[in-house]
Amino acid sequence: MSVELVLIPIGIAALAARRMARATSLCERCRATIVADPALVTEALVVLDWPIVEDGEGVVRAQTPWGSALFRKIGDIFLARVDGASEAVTLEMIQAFDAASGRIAQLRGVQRAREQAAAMGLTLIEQRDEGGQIRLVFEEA
Amino acid sequence: MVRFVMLVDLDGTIRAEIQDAPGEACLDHIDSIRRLAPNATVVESSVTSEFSHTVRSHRHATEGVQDHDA
Repeated sequence: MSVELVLIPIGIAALAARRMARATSLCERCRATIVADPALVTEALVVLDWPIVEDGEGVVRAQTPWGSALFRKIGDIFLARVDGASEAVTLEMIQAFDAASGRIAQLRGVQRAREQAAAMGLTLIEQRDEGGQIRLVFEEA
Repeated sequence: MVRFVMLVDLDGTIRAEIQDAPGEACLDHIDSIRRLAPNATVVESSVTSEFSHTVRSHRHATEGVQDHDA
């Protein structure tokens, strides 16, 4: 054990952006998601089977189990709300949305790491799920 | 033999560790971690005590945002 790195996939907002988004008033009644990339927004909505009713530049509307929802990009992050709903309902919707988005990013990260490792001549010696977190161990040949 | 341990969180965040490369040799493998996680951005890096002991120094660095393309 010698060097540790923390990496955030492009498409997922950095913590600093999430903190800043909490303080913005640019999207009324909105709350921060973890997503930065429009493509990941639509991909997560498809996975969740929430029909997309509008997909514009920086604005996505979808029909969710909690009602019509707005996703709007402010700065480096997407904010969201359930139209006409309480903050608790919006947060519940965002929790489901973030979970789906994060899972997509997680699986994509695992797949890319495995592909890159193979190309680099590394051997995958371990892959296991640790309570949702996926552990990969690669070894030089 | 150098090992690369990656923990991929439920939100896609990757925590990577280089093992069995004591001392400054481990720094040579940082680029390998970046190659293992293309389209990801390094937001933090740190040197652990084992490394510090070896080189008799300790540092903890937070890097600026660095996009990396494979």
